[in-house]
Amino acid sequence: MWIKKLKNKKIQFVVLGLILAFAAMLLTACLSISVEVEQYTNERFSREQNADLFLYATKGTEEYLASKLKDYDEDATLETIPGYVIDTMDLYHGKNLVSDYITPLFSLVLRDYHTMPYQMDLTDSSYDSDEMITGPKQGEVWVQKIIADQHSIKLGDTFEVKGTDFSFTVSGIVNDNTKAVSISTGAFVYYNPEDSTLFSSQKPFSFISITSQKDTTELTEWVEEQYTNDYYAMLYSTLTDLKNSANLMTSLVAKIGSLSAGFMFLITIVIILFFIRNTILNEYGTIGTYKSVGFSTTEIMGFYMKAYLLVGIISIIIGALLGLPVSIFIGNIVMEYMGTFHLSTATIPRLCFVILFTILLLILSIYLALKRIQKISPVDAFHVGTTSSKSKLKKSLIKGAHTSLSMAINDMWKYRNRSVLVILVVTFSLYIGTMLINMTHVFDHMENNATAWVALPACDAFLSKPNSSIPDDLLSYVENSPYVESYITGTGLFYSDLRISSADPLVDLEYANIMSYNTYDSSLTNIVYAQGRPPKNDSEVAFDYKTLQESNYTIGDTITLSLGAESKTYLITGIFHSMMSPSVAFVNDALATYPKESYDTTIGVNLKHTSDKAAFEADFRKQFPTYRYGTLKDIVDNIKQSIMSIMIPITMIIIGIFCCFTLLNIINLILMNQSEQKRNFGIMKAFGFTNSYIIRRNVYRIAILSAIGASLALLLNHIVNAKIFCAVLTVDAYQTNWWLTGTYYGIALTVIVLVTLLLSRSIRRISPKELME
Amino acid sequence: MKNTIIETKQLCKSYILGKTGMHVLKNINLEIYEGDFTVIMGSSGGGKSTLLYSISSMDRPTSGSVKILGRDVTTMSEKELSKFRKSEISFVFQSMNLLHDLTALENITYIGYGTDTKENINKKALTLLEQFGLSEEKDKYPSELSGGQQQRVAICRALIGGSKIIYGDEPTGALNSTTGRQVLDCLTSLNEQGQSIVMVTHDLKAAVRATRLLYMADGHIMAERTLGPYRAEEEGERKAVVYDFLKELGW
Repeated sequence: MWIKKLKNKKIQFVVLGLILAFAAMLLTACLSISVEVEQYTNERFSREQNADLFLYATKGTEEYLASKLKDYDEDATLETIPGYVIDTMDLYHGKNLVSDYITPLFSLVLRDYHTMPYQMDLTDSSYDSDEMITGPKQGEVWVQKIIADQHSIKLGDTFEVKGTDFSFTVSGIVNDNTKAVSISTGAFVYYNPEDSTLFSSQKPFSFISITSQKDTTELTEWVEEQYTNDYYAMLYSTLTDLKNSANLMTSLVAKIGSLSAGFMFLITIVIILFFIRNTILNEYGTIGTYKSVGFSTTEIMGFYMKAYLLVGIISIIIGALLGLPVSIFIGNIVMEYMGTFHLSTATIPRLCFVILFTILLLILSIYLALKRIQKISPVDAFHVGTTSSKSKLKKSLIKGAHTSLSMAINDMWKYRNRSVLVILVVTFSLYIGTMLINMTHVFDHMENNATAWVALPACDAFLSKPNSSIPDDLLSYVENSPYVESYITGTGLFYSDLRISSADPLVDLEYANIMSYNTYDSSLTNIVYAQGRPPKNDSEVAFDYKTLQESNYTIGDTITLSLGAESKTYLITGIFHSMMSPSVAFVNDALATYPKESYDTTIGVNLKHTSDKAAFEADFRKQFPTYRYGTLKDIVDNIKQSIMSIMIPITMIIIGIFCCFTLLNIINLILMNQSEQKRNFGIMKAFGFTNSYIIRRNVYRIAILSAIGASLALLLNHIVNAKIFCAVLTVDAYQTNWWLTGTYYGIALTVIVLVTLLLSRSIRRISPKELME
Repeated sequence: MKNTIIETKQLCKSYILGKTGMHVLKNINLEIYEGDFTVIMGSSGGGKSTLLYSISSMDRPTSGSVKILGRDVTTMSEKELSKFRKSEISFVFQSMNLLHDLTALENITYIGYGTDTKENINKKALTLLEQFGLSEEKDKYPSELSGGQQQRVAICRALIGGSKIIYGDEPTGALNSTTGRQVLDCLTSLNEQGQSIVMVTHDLKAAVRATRLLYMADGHIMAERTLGPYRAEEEGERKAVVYDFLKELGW
């Protein structure tokens, strides 16, 4: 009997099976990625294979810290690798590597990549496979894969050193833990120790790695306490920071995916319950007949249970297994710069969990839905007949309705549960799609909204002279340039190298980015603060949101800060969002007692016409060939490229899955509706209603419900997404691109309408003569 | 001389059952006249229902022609057929076939809208409901009505658009004798007012309402009998006449 039930509604069962398979696939894929990446990064970033703290410190800091370290932790070890901060050296690969796109760029000695204080893999090299290679040979460099991919650097390419006859050849591409994702600060170019003299014109630095049994936070605090004006770290990373950065995108993807899959499964369960409820209502009479001829409730429930379970179990198992290749595909994208994603035995419990949990949930749901069979008595069933129960009926919303549109509205109202389901599915899918599309767009167009990402001024160009304050000739050029509308001066695209600290332990400014401009006038900088306003005089300061979040300070409070050797009290005037936390903003006057080279280095230029950018750049480069020309795009390009390489495919995959899910649900609801309404359609045809009238009624109904769903998705996007984005990334940079969103909604709604139209074609085959008995 | 409202020529209808063909209607030439209460009776499987579908535009014949109100419905497109059904004919089915999600009143008005102004249709529907004793039930859904009430709503629906022919497919088949009689009284009363009715039945009580009785067997019209207008007081005699007629044909 249950096989007959399956055959009778085979298309709907197939659609239900596909929906379940999609949900199980996404759930398995996300859980698998999540556990595998976590396991892989735990191993790759383990304390056994990596040091605990990495410092980019001034030369000599290693000896200074080493002399004190044993007193702090006698088991601690300190290792140093010498290197240089490449700043004024014109290292060319098509463009100037430093001034045009990689900042900061460090050169680091590499003797043996197997013995580095952090995990490093040689992913590609120019050497023969049988050659024992431990590091670049003389005249060669190794480059991090993430940098190589972003800037099209390939094996065999050369880095010319301008002004000399020398050039480095790229002979190795590596993945290392310091640069598993592009948002990690800076990049390394690894060189042979014999080539150190070639970098001698640059500022030397020591890459210090410390391994300690003590807690890393405690170790970091201890190190910071030891700093002096000569011995300190410009940058630092803890192993935990590196691991968290490496996991950031993966965890974001896994969280969005798991949440989506969970919702998807819940909606699927609701739809199955709804489907069963309607099946029971439609088969009231049949169920009554079964009972009247002696079938027990359990036996009747068994007919339906077996049919649903067969479809459910097969679909869930197939879907969950298909989730494995999907997780490998997505995993390889998110782990491109950490290693090769592979499935391990850790996935098996997740796979079993998905299969068992979803099947159990399905059994429970089906059982609960079928329980109403117990209440059906043969007499009630015969009285209600083959149509439906009385409880299903609702009054018409539009009285005297006749047009297909008004009848569609009445249908929506009468069949509210079904309408809610369509709205729910469309809202949910479009909302997730909107979020992903706009997030991708926001990342892809960071430069257009850079003030929100890094709180830097949105000037058209930033001009500076390396290692110098703003020279008079540059200032004079800008003042007299016919292209320039206005300009500001200050730290430009970079931050001041002054050191700042706060006496309050809750305001950690140890590695703060200090920005300073002569003005923050929003008409010149386009900077908009989250709260309050930018500083206007030398006694005022502003902080990024995250820095003040943990403290008791707020706008209007005063705070004592130490800049270099001086301490002073400042009024907090504003809070801004920035992903470069901690960040502090002053006006130039506040730093006037310090050398101008540390803060007044750059002119931010606003052009009269943005179309003049190329002409202005050409003019500037011709006039000042050794000066730097930068744009906000240069800053964000490094960050965005690797994010985009992950975001775009994942967005496409998730949107694709959701589109299929939405369509399958809509197909299911349309089929359910058509099977129930078949008799009504026949009656309508017998009384002269045309096929196109009936089809229009169907299409209007789905189109209106989808439009309501789309509106709700937009509303949710408007209310929630910016807040979620800001909460996760601490940057108020989420924007809705209306053209992109509109196109997405347009395509989605058109596809929904087309599918409805296509499925409604079967209405043409309904003949009124089927009504005659 | 009565006007012909339905005319068939060499009407054939065949079905393919498995690998064999089944000829249900065999070269039927028939004329049905305006104002008649035409009842089609016959042996089970004799083709009476198939004939009703074919002469009501619900089904297309395999060959031959069917003219309803002077129009050849066998050559009409689906759209033309819909328009034709809406304006010219209507149905009363054995299983009522009311739209289950509309109230009694809505079932009537929904079918009527488009044939007259909304106001007129609403007014007419209420009058019909009153006429058929259903005023109290106008806001009830089909599942809340008895079988007889449902069938009377179905008759109101058939009448709302001013159809020239009402087709009945065993309209009393699912009703008990009391409600069946009420429905037949409604149809008889309508016929007395000039409404043309074509009805298929196997019920003798329904057949006696006919002014013209056709008997079908084996895909042919085997015989016909013309009866005078129905009078309740003559029902016994009329029944005997019809019974004898049918008995002669082996019913």
